[in-house]
Amino acid sequence: MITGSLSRRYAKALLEIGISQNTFDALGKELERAADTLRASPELRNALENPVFSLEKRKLIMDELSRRLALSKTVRNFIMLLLDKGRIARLPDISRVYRGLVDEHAGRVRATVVSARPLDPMLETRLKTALEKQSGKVVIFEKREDPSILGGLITQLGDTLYDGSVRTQLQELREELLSE
Amino acid sequence: MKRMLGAFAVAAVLAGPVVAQEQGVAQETKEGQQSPEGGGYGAGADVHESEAKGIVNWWSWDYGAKAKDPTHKNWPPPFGYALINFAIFLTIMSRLAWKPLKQFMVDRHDSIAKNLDEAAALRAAAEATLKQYEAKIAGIDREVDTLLAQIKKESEAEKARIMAAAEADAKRLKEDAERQIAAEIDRARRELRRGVIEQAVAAATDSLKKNIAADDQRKMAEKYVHDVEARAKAGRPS
Repeated sequence: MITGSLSRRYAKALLEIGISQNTFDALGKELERAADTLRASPELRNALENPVFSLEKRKLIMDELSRRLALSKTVRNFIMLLLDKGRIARLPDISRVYRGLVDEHAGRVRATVVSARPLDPMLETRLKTALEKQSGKVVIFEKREDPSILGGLITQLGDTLYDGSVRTQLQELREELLSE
Repeated sequence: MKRMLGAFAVAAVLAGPVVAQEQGVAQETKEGQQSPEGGGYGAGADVHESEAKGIVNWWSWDYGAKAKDPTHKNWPPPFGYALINFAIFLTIMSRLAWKPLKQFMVDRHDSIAKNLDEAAALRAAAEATLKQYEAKIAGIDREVDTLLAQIKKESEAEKARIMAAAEADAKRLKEDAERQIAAEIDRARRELRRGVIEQAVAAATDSLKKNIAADDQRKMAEKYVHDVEARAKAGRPS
C-alpha cells in the first residue's frame, strides 16, 4: 500500500508535466519502454539498484540507456531522480500506475481479454463495442490466449472481471456439488 | 484448763486422807521391824514400803539423806510444791499456747470441714458423671441402632447416586459413540462424494480438452459476447 502510494505520487508528478507539455502519451510510452528494459534484464536492474556501484556510475549507465532508448529529456531526468532517491526499483510499478492515470485522463480504459483460442475479429469488435458502451470510455484491447481456460472468454475491465470460461464454470459446478 | 486444775485439786483433796492412812500404816510397820520378833528388815525394805504407801511428803523440805528428821530420810521431794509448780506451768502454758492451739484446732476443724465439703462435692460430681455414663450406656444400643440405620440409609443413597452416575456416563458414552460413528460415516460419505466429484470434474476437464471443437469455442465466445452486450444494454440504456 505504501509502495503503491509512492508510485502513484511519482506517476502523478510525471503526468502533470506530460499534461502541461501535452506529451503525456509519449511520456507513457517512453516510461514503459524503460520499465520493460529494466524488467527484462536482471543484470541491468542489479547494476542500477546495487549501492556497491557509485551513483555517478549508475547515472552514466542510465544516461547511456536513455540515449539508446531515445528517451526524452523529461523521462531521462525523471529516471535520474528515481536513481537519486534510490527508487529505481519502482520504475515498472510507476510505469503501470502512470498508464492507468493517462488512460483515466484521456477517458480510456484497458480491457484484457483471455481466450482459449484466437478470438474471431468480428466478435472482438462486438465485445469492444459492448464494453465501451458499458464503461462509457474508449476501450483499449489487450488479448491473451490461455488454453487452460478450456473454452469461453475472460475479460478484465478496470476492476471488473467478466469470467465466462469453461474452467471457471467447472470449478463453480464442483464447489456447488461439494457444498451440497 | 480450769477443768484440768479442778481435776488436780479434787485429786489432791482425795489423796490427803489416803496418805495419812498410809503414814499410820507405815508407822506401825516401822515399829514392828524394830522388835526382835518381827525379823530383820534393811533400809531397802523401808524405801519399798514408803513407795508402796503413795504420796508421803506434801509440803516438807526436810527429806532425803540430809533430812534432820530421821523419819524423813526416805521421803521424796514435797509433792504439793511439785503440784503447784505443775499448776503454774499449766497456767503459763494456757496463757501462751491456748489461743494458738485453739486457733490451730479451729483452723484444723475448718480445713477438715472444707475437705469434707469438697469431698462431698466431688462425690456428688462423680455420682452425676456415673449417672450420665450409666444413662449413655443404657442408650448406646439405641444410638448404635440409629447410627446403623443412618449408615444404611446413606449407603443406599450413595449406591443410588453411583448407579445414576454410571447410567448417565454409559448413556453419554453411548451417545458420544453414536455421534462419533455418525460423524465418521458422514465424513466418509463426504470424502467419497468429494472423490467422486473431483474425479468427475477431472474427467470432464480431460474430455473437454480433447473433444471441444473450434465450432464449440466459437459458440461459447458468441454466447459470452451476447451476454456482455445484454449486460451493457441493461447497465447503460441509451
